[in-house]
Amino acid sequence: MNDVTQVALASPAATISIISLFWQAHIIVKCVMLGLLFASIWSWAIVVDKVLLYGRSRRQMDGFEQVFWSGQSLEELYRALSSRNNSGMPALFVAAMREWKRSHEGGRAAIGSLEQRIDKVMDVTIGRELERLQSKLLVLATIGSASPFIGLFGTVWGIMTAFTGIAASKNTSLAIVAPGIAEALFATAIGLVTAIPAVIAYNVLTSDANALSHRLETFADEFSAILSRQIDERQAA
Amino acid sequence: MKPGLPFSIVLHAAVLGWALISFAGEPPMEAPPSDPIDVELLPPSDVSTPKLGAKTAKPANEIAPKELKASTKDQEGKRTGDTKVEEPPPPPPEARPTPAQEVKPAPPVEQKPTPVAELPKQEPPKPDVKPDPPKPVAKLEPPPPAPPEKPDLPKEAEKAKDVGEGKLPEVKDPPKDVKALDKLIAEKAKDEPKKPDPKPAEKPVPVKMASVAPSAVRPSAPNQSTSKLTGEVSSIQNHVQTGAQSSKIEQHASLGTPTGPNANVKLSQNEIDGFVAQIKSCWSPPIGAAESNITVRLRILLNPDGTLKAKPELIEISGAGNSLGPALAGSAIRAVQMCAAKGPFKMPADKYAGWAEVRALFDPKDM
Repeated sequence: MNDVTQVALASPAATISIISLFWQAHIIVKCVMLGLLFASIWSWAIVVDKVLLYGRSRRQMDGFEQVFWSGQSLEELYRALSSRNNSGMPALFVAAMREWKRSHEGGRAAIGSLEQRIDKVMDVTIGRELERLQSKLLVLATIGSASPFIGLFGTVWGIMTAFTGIAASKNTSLAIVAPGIAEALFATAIGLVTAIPAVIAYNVLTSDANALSHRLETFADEFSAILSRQIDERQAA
Repeated sequence: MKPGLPFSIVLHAAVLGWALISFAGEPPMEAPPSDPIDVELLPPSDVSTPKLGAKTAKPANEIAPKELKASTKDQEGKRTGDTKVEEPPPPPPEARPTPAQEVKPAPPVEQKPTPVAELPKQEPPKPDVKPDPPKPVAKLEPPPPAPPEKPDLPKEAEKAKDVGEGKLPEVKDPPKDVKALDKLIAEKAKDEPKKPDPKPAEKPVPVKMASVAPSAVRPSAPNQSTSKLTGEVSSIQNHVQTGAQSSKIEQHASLGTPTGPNANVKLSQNEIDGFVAQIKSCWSPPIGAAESNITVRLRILLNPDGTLKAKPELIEISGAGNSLGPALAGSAIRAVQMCAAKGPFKMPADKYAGWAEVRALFDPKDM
């Protein structure tokens, strides 16, 4: 109840600053504010990471496609890439080529179901890459949808305590009422400040991730077509 | 290492720092100190009962708030747009002063003039009255014979009252019974403010009155000393004029009785408002009445304890052609009865004379 009386007795003349708004708040409202602040920091961290990751992935795909369609031998390209720790489109290429190579390593080439195996390997690789691209986007979605409610909860709680304090002080002048209300509304403000960028970023990043995954699938199909032609040629020979 | 988290922390720290600086620096909103307003406390009667004549007018305003604007304009002297009926009242004041002059100087003579003064009211039956005024004039010169003729005039007056208003007789009777001059004078002084009540009822007549009465009465005036008279005339005229002004207003409605002493009759604005509010709370006019321009005027007779003396009496329905008229009248009567049934009207008991009879104009537009 100390906080309640503190709210009620907040001196009317006190200027309303961010710090005073925070320190005069009820402990629960403080928790809400701090939680929202951390949520905001986290969501922005995710946004920054994802934007950088997507940019990097896009540049990597552009570079790889350029090399891939340049007419260079696939064996050479594989030799150049297999030693590296790949991600994205190169990883897809390396996975498919590795399966191809292994099928020809034994004394008797296992070509019968090679095409299906290659497809499967590439599907697994695409799934892994997508998971990497889209990880933590759900966190953004959660923050975007939940933080307004969390802020609202802080506001309701703050107003409740403010009214309790007002009732205790038996004074309804605006100067007494206002600080409590302002402090309570501050929680909603923080909630909105957190939620709005998170929601926008979630939508933008999701569409980016979809575009990247679509590009990966397209490449997988193309590469699969090339390999299947090779297999057929070898069977015929 | 992912650069997102440090970047985000730095961003938030920057935003918070900016918010701290910018919010803290905002000066609190200062309301400019408001100028003090001088308030003077006046007793309600000072404001609400400015004129003798107005006492009868105000209830009309209040009971029919719709007419408030019109009647207040009247009191300010703007009579434009009023009907012909309103113009006649001014002349009568001129007729009355002359009788008043005669009253004070010569006791015997006064008794005749007093009837003359009241004759104007009796004039609705013009044929009866016009012959009479000459008689008093003729008899002014022989003072002694005068008494016998008073009885005649009062009778005529009573006839006239029967035709016109019921309450006048009460006022005029005392003069016959008590012949002491002082009482006569005193009563006349009281009568004059009350005259406004009777006259409006006889609206069409006053114009003729003005022409008849002076000619009949003035000849006698020269016989008496004029020195004191002039001053008294002017003062009386003042009184009468206020009455004349109010007579217009009374056409809307009147609150007051001719019998009561003036000083007590004045109801303050608050008291009138209170009465109107009591009736309004009970009144629900029929649907559509407000659009049809009907009004209903009732006479409400009250007991000193605030209960109804009799069932409210319908005086008139304006816009009588409208089929809603009777329904509106019924609703108005029911409203008064319902209010009375809830409990007696709360009125100042010491001013009973002012509200023994109330004429209330019910206008559904005000609801």
